[in-house]
Amino acid sequence: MARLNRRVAEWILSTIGEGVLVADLAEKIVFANDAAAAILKTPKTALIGQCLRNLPDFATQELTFETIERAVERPGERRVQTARIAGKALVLNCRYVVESKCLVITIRDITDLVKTSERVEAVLASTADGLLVLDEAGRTTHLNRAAETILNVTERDALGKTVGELHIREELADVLAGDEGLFKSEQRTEEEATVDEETEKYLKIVTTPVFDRQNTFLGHIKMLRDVTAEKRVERMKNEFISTVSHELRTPLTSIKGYVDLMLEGDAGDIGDIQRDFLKIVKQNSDRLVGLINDLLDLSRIESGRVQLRKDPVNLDEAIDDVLVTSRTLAEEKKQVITLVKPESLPIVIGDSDRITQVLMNLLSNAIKYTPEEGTIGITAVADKRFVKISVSDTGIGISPIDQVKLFEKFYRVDNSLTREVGGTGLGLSIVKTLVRMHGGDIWVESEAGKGSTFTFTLPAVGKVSLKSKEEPGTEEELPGAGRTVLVVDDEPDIVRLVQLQLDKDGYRVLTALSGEEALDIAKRERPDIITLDILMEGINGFEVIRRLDEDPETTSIPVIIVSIICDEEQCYSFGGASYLTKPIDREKLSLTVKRLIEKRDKERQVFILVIDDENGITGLIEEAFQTKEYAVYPARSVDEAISVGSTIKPNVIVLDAKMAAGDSHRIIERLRTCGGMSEAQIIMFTEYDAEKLADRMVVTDGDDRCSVASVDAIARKIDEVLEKAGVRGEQD
Amino acid sequence: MASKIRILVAEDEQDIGRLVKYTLERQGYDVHLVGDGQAAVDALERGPFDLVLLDVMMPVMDGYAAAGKISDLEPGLPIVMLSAKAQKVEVEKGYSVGALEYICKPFNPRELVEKVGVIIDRTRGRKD
Repeated sequence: MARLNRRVAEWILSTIGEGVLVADLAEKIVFANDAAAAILKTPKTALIGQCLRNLPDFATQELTFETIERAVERPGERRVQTARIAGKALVLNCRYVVESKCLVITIRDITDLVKTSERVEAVLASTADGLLVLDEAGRTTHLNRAAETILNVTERDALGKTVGELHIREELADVLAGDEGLFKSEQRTEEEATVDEETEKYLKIVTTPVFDRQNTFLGHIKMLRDVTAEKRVERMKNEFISTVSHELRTPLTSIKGYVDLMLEGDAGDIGDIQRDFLKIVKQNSDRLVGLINDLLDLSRIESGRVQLRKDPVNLDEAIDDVLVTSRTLAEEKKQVITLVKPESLPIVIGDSDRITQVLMNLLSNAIKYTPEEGTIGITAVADKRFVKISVSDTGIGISPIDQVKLFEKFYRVDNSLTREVGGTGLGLSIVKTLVRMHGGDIWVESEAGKGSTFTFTLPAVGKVSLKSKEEPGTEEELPGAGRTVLVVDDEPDIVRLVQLQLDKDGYRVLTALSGEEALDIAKRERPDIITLDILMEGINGFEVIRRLDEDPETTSIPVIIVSIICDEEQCYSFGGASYLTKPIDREKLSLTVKRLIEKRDKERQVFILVIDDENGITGLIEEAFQTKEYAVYPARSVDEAISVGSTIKPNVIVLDAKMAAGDSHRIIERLRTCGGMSEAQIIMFTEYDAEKLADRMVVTDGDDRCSVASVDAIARKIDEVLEKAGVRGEQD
Repeated sequence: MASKIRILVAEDEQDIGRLVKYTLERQGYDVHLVGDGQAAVDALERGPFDLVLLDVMMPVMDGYAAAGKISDLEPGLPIVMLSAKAQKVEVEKGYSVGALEYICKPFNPRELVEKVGVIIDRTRGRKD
């Protein structure tokens, strides 16, 4: 290399940002560039000739001299250290160059970098919420002060460890670790956990995945917030509401009771004006009762005391039910209700009572706000992911401002119509909460003078519908064909009435005029369903249910309580499957009997869960099992399989070996440990050579795998496995 | 009807007690009103009743406890609860302590008359 002219070399050194000092072996500075002068805040001329040890700030840096000495001891090796000189954070780079017998020290100013990182550290440390940062493998990279306090773990102990390795309560660790399936999920998740049962410390945990600009997954940030105080306030609020509502009922009972007595003429004659005024009192006390009921309902929902049942819900039936119930209301106002929907909607998972409540609320609102002889429309559509149901009225419409606030608690659009219609201002708030709890959403579209449309969505489980409809070619068949109903009542007139209606539907009807007779026939004939009166001489209805329940041969027969004294609460507390009040509504009777029989069929159905990302095989399996006794559910991923499977509790799981990606043991373990699937038979299929795969697969007890050339093979395997597990044996 | 049907009502709220008494007396029942559960149990010793109506929240002895005692003392005597406690668990509790009917407050007097009437008809029919 050509020797550089000394001046050129100096010029080059003056242009670079890093400070450069050259000192001789006596540590006397022989060269300094501009950057060094700037960093050390000393003119270049003052630096040259100075001894390193005499530099004001260098002098206090013990480490610096150690570095210099080491560099001299090991020539050619670079020594690096950080130092704080003249208020700056510096990186010193020191090397002894033997050939020229001099020390070359470069100085990089990283003050800004350090400041930024210190600021980030300070922000993290002083954040009131606990922060736990995990890398892509789930190891702790950061734990701020608040998190240290909340988890009672020091950052030093936690660094590099996974959540499971920290010394924290197992339950909390489970929540913190999250679902392994969601590990690289792009979704933000929110969970709650108890930190300490004694102190009832509650924690809200928000997990957010971190991606860099290249969209590489870097890990998760978990925000931990102590919500103990909020929880306590919430609990107090709910207790308060519950107490207040009880206390309000007492004076209301007097108000309502005496007003009713007067209005019904039980307290002597009253004049027209008095009647009018009393009606106003009555309407308002009724409104107050409605408000209390809604308030209690809302408080129970919000406090999480309302647990949604998670069953497959048939929306076609839910819509039918709501239409039947509200028909009278609409007829009173001479309104027409139109229904537009595909023949069968996909199944959703949820609480059918609550979904019906949502539909009922929207439909009764529509009826209330639509003028006489107006039209109300229900529209339902579905795609792969959601079912969308709209209820539209032809009322006065809702202004854009009101649309925004409509779903808030106690918000009521103020106009003469809403005052006339009445209501609590809580209905839509309850509806929204319920829809959200089901993982759906609700919104309103409206045009002044034309009407409003309320639309809500519910996540669909899959494209396959429960096969409750009759097989093709049997459309003419009546719902009761081949089914037997036992009608029990001690009044022959009522027996005759019920029999008449059920005969029309094609059921085989047996009758009993006493509890004794009913038990006798039930045991002998094993009807599909029983309708039962409660107040009977001798053995009464409740006793009949109890005895039916005790006998294993009759315990599974659903009972519809048909009584003058029954309501929903009573019916279920006595073990009835459903109830009807007298006088009997024929259509309701028909519908209830049909529904319960269908429900029973479904309970006996064999559920097959197919996990396959290509969906090709799902369709073929569906075709092979296209009878009423089977229901096929597709899942396109293992995560989806887990969410669907834990609800439907499949009897058989069919898994594409490709989905297992060589790690079938782990996937089978995951499926097994999820609620509802521990008993399922797992069949793994592959289109490849089974022999080769067998080496890589670990198959747990009771599982089967097969190499398939055709769907028939899978179908045969499913039958085989079911028979072995004794599931098919119980079919009729 | 040879003798009047006797109904025992336990209700600590005077206004409501009077409302129930008035409503039922207009139907021709003989109504005996007491102010708490213990008083209801005591009253049973003094004379036979055809039906007992119990409020739930009462001093001295609440309606649930009274219902339990009454079913022990006189099995088969129909008990009807009449309460502002209207939540499902509370209603279920009412049935579990032996009530045949649970009426939630506020109630319509006609509803009370109908429900009481049905139970009276059935139990009378059984005795005849």
